[in-house]
Amino acid sequence: MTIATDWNMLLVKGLPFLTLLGMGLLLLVIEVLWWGKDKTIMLILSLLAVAASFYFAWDQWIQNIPWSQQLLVFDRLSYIFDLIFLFCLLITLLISRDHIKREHIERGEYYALLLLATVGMMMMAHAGDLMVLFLGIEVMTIGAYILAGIKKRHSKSNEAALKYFILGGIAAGLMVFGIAFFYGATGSTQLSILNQTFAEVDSSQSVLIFLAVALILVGLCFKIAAVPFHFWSPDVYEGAPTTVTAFMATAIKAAGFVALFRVLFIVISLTHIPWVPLLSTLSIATMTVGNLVALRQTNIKRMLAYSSIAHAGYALVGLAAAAKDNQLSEMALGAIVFYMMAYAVITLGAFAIVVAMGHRGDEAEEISDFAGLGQRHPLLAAAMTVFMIALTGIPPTIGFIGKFYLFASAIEVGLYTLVVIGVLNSVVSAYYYLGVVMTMYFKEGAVYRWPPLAYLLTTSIFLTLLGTLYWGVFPKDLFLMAQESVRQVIF
Amino acid sequence: MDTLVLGISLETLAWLIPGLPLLGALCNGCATLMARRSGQVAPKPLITFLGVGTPFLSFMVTTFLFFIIRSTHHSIDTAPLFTWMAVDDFIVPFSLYVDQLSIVMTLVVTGVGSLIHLYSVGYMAHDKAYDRYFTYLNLFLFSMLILVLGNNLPMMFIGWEGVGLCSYLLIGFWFQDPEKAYAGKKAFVVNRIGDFGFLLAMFLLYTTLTQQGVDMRGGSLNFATLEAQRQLLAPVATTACLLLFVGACGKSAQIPLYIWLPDAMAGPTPVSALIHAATMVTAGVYMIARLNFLYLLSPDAMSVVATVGAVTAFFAATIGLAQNDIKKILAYSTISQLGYMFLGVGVGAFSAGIFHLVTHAFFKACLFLGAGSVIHGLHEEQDIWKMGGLRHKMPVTFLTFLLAVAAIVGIIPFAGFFSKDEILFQTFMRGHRVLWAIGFATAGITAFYMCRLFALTFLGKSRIDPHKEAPIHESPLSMTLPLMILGLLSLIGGWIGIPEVFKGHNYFHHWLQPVLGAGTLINESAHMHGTELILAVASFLWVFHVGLIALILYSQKLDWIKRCVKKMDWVYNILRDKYYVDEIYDFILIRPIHWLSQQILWRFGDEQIIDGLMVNGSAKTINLAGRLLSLMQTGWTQHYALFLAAGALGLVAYFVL
Amino acid sequence: MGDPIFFYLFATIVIGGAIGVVFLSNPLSSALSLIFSLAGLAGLFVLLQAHFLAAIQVLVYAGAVMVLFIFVIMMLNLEDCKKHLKVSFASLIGFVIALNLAIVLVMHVSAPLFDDGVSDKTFGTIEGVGQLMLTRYLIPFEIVSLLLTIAIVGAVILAKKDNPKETT
Repeated sequence: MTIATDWNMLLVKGLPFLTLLGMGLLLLVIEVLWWGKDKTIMLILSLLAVAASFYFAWDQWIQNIPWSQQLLVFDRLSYIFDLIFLFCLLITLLISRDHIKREHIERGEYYALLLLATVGMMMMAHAGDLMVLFLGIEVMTIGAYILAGIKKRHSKSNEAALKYFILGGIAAGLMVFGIAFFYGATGSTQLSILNQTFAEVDSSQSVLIFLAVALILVGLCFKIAAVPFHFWSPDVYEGAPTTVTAFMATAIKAAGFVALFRVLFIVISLTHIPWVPLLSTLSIATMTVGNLVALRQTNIKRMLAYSSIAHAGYALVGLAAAAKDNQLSEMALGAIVFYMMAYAVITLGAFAIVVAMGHRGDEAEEISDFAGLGQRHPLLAAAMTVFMIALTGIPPTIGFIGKFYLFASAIEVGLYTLVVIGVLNSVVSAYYYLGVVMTMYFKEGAVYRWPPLAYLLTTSIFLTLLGTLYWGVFPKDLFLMAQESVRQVIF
Repeated sequence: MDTLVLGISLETLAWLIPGLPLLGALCNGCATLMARRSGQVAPKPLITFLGVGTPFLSFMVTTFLFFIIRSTHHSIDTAPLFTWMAVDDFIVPFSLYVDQLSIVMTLVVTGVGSLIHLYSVGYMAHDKAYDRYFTYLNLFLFSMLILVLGNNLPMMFIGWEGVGLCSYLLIGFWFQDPEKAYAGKKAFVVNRIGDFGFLLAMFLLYTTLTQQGVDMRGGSLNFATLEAQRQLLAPVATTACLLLFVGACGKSAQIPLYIWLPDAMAGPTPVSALIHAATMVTAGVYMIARLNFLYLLSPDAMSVVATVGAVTAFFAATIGLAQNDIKKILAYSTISQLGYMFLGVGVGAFSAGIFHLVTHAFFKACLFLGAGSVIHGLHEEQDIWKMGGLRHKMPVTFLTFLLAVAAIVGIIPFAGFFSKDEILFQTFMRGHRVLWAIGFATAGITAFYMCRLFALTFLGKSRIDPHKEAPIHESPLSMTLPLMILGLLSLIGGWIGIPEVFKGHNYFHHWLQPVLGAGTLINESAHMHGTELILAVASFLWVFHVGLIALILYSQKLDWIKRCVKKMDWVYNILRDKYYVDEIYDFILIRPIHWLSQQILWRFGDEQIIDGLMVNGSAKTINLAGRLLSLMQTGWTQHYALFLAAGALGLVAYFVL
Repeated sequence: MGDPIFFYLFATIVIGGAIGVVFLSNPLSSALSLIFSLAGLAGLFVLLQAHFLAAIQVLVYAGAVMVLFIFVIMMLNLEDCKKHLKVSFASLIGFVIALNLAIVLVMHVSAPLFDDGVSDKTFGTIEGVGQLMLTRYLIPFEIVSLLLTIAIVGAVILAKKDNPKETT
């Protein structure tokens, strides 16, 4: 069958990822042809692309003209996630430059891969078909595999890439298995068609569908590092270059959630499945394991990895709340979107500081390396303190607001136990977050000369800090954006 | 009442009464703090001006308002200055109520208070913490005025607590001496026990009224509201009155909560005069008079009040017989006289009780200030056995003290005669013969120990320590002037309440009638005049002779006394050691509580359970959990895959089954 | 669907080959076993009328990819892993779990599948597949090409020896 595709519309609507795609490929070419050693041009071009893409996505979001092309959808939900991805990409680019120079991994492909991985994420956000969703996941993930292992000389990086690859492959395999079952049961992979089909599902086919959902969920939970699919996460986060970790922890997590959204939108009408216990259990397991094991960590990247697992758990609280009564409550979904934004801002800031710590020569990855930072570099220590406080969820940071909305939406539907566990987990998390703060201010550290920080690095720290505090006090605009985005989701 | 006088409304004037001492306290307090920062003392003239001036001004305003009320026969009910508390239905507005009863109390408080403030100038002249003293003293005056002028029960309680606080601060004024500090603490703690009763009573009244659906938006527990709704309170009246009386026992030092008052003599003598004689300790009596409508609903409670009052009067008087410290004697005397007041209100003669309160303020203040004068003149000597023959050395003190002694003993026509007589007469006439007998006997004992005190201090040969002999002189005018005024009042103060039997018009009782209406005197019909006359003459003769005997014994025949005491030393020791009440309390109450707190609550409860189990325990548990969980992260990809598969199985099973 | 016997035959080959991959100790044997498995898969495709896929399966997967595998194995000169193969506790658990998973899946997949008769004659032919891929599924097609690009780039980055002059 042929389909009349409105190519013009597609071009306009798809500008956000098309720009990135174009620039990514261009960078690959330039890398080959470029004569000089200085790769700054790559950075500049990347930033240009990001800026352009941001503009397009923003414009589309404001215009709010949803459109679907059967395999791709262009609604506010997609665009807001595009914006989230772009923000993560922006900060990652800013903190990358000097870092990758020092790590001897400065190559054009690095930038290209970042851009192209983001394209994959955007595919996920705009997915209107399970195939597109899966392919988007794969584009993103393979880019991530390579970026994780790009520090070829370091065994930890190799280990990270390999583990990610093997386990990711298993998860992807299971996911495709599930998608195949979907097709087998309904005859289509298109989300809009699936949505209608599920409304009239009958028992003879339902088992297959349930199986399918289970397997797809396995794949998606792997991506967001929910327990018990999280085991790859600490090793990979630790081994990958810090800037790549920052990107993975924020953008990929958000992408995982948007994929979950898309899938859940269609399967939520399957009333035979008790969603809330499932999602609650996942949430509790993820939060608890993430927080408890984080207590034991001495490496800050690993700690942040477990922390990101825990935060995925908190977001799952919102998902559990959203799934109550087999309808997706807007408030809960909006809270999750908001949380993705909040979490991205804070975590990027924290990672930026970790990158800055390595600035002085040797990679500072242990928490003990932060000792005495309060005296040596008070501004940096203060910024880190804010980020740690934000991660714990203490006002007046955006971290608090995010958790607040999540838990509020859960209380609205009556999931009191879940919220209590969530809050208790936040309390436990205070130990290791504030442990960093304590190390910075109350422990004596080695004294050494501190070279001035790169401008871009400082800018990114400043931007994230500003975001954390400003939106912590005036979150309304951002939250409204998040809520609006989940309002009219189309298929 | 919107009458304006000189452009100031009456309401504003009413607010000035407590407001002025508060202003004085704040200014003095600030000055003290600022001076302390640079290690100095605030300038005396400023402190004195504010410290004495504000109470005095307050007294002027009070007098003025008194005349207004007298001419208009209206009370002044001010609008709330602010709402102190508004929780659901419980609203406490901060407003004053100046009626016949409260204006009387206010006159006493501000009048006698001003005199004592003036006295303090001379007495505390050499003290290093002169500024702190006046701050506290003004603060006390403010609290007392709030207590007396408040138009609702919670406000009275605010004042109640405030005077308790100031009492603590002033008793322990010389806190560097641990004994004095301890006395302050003791006063505060015992007061607290009483306050507990007061609070419970307030809760009870409030819940009773709200359960009946009374609209209390105008102010919860307003006296006006309480009086209007008193029928609704009838079922809980006994309990509430008894609970309130517990509070009164604490504040007014009745059995069993009187133990703090003798120890309170550790404070400066003017403090003893003001707080522990004239004003604070009378708060309990005022409270009962104010709530007379409530007490009248419960004859049982009133019997309890009267009985406790009478017994306390007797009990304290007997202790006073054997004390040797001049201030302690006066302290027990105060307890005893307070007992009289409670006896009066307990039998229903509310105005008689208040009358005695007023006269007591005059002569007791005079006595204390006189004692202070003696102590000051003898350079801090307080043992009466080391005094004597001060008649010539301190003539003004001697004379005023004599007037006051005559008043307290009950010699006609001194103030104490009329008030005490009124109480005894009412007691008799209302049928409480036993209580009357106790009161009658106590009057004799009172006469005895007061004359004993007087004789040992001022008469006879001097037993003063030779080192102190030389520079003994009369006190300065700032001290003697108040003495003289109070002495005069001790003489003529009772004349406002001369009953008809003595050809008086009993102004006092008629004045209070609008407020204490139901509880005023049994009609003085002519045929009762006979009984009253007989009783009056009897008591006069009784106290006169006992007093005279005491005077002679203790001024001339001291060896006699010493031999008697030696023969009956066991009686004497019990009396002197206050019936060992403090020791009994310590054994029964204080030691067990201390043991409980230390061994059980602290060692076990706090250290082991809260610290060990809950705080450390939870931390250890979480730590352990974290350690166990982290063991799962082995680093082996195969294991990761295993967990993945297990999770997949779990999900699939969940979905399929 | 053709004769059920062919289905079971090819299915056995697929599963047998897969088991062989896991349990044979010689890596070369494992690779060859995988080729067998893939050939069986191609057979299953034929049974499903997906001729084009069957051909591509053999050509690309069994032919190109597996050949690469064998090149690498032979280059690395991997030895038998017989010594390292031991039945550990973890692997036992893994076996149990996998078995359970398989049973659950098999039990429930016995429900009748979506059984639409093949209406289009071009189904499974190059023509049919090509038409779909370039019209209806053009976008996934393009994404796949992006995916392949990334994969190639990654392979080159990771495998290529660094020219000391190129990286700073």
